[in-house]
Amino acid sequence: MNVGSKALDKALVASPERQAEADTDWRVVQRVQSGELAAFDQLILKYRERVYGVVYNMTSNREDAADLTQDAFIKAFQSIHRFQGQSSFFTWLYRIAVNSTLTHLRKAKLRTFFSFEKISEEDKTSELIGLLTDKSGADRELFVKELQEKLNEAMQKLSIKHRTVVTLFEIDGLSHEEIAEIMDCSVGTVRSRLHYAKQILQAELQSYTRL
Amino acid sequence: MNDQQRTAPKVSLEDLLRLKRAERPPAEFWVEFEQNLRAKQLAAIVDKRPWWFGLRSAFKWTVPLGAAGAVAATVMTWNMTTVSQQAPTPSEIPARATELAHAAAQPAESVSTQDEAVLVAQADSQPARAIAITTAPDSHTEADVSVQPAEPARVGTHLASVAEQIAGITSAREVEADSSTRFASVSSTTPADAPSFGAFFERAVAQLDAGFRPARQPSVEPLTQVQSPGDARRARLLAFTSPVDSHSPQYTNASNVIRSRERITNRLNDEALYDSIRRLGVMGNGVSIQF
Repeated sequence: MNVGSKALDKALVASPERQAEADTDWRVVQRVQSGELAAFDQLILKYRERVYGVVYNMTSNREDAADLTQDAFIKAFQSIHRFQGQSSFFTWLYRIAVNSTLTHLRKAKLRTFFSFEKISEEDKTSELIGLLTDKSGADRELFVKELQEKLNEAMQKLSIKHRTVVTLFEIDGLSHEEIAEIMDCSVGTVRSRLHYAKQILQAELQSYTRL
Repeated sequence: MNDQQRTAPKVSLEDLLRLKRAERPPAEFWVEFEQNLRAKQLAAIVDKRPWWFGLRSAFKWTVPLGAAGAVAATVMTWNMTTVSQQAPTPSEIPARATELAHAAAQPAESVSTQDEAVLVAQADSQPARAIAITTAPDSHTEADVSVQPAEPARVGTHLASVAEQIAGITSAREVEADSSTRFASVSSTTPADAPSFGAFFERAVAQLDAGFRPARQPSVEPLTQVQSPGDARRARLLAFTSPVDSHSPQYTNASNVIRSRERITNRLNDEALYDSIRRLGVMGNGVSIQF
């Protein structure tokens, strides 16, 4: 039994909900385009954590992730008048954030400095960690930190594009079609990259998985 | 395998990766995030992007293509300009000379051009001078047809300007078959003791030749005779034909004239001129010539 996966799947927005979310965002964007600039704050509050999470998992550095997330919102604000609603706002915003991060990672290839966020132990996370270890207290925290480093180290072994696909699909929960739209590639390419990335990660994390 | 391992729940890779969702910053992180974002927003408003910034994506490929087209147009324009700056072709001079010849040969007709009127007036007052313009073989020439009296034995600007008009007229004669008749009728008014046109031609060419052939024996200071080759000078000399006997039956042979013109042209190109100047030198009372 895979703990948490079904519950997490429920948390993901289904297609009708995604459509409703897109319609809501489009109305806010129209208000911004008409001159109500303060309406853009609503979009920032709604998507800042998700965008930050994507960028953080791509960079494994919280300071860079914060700067890149802010830059993504600035670019979106400056280009909001060109958004015509052909795609959902969050897909458009994600594309800006992913492209900015990819550009940053290509420039800073040699610099690998990790700074991790602390894993907040919610119910699901705590349950999963309990499956992985029966330790408690300080030993548990040490185990969690070790697991976190191992996860990020495995992610860093992937190429930038493979890491992006894994982040968007496995961590952020987007569909193959949405990822293809964000990364401007075909759905087949997304599936291919995802399959290859999982093979690499499986080899790196086999000591933690229990299949 | 023991019972504990058999009943232990499975942990997949996907579960581990989703564990990363729990990696979140604390609440105070977002306070600082908002402050920094506001500061960047204000900076973006103040620091306006250039007007062309938004055109980058629209003209991703048109700019390089346009630049290539501009370069091609510049090259073509330069080539056309270079061609147009070349010396006028021999065909252009005969056209002008033909007009003058017609006007001089038919003075009774009303002429519209100013040059033709001048020539006719001068023909009436000074027959020899007018004939020199229109009829090459049987009349004498003057140094400056339009104003000054004749001084045939001078190599310089006067001779060059006269030679240009005469050469143009003679080349026009060679092209038109019925021109000789007209000239013959005009030449009948020539004074009997007028100097031969052909003799004057030969003398003028000999003096020009001496000025541009430093290998010969210079009787005067070469540097005083050698002038900076200019376009105007070259143009005048290009119109100069070879010294041929005016009574020679081959006078109207166009190929001879063309060959003479080419010979003179080849001598008078810039490279030859500068080379000839470089080879000359003056030391005291002598002249040095470098080979």
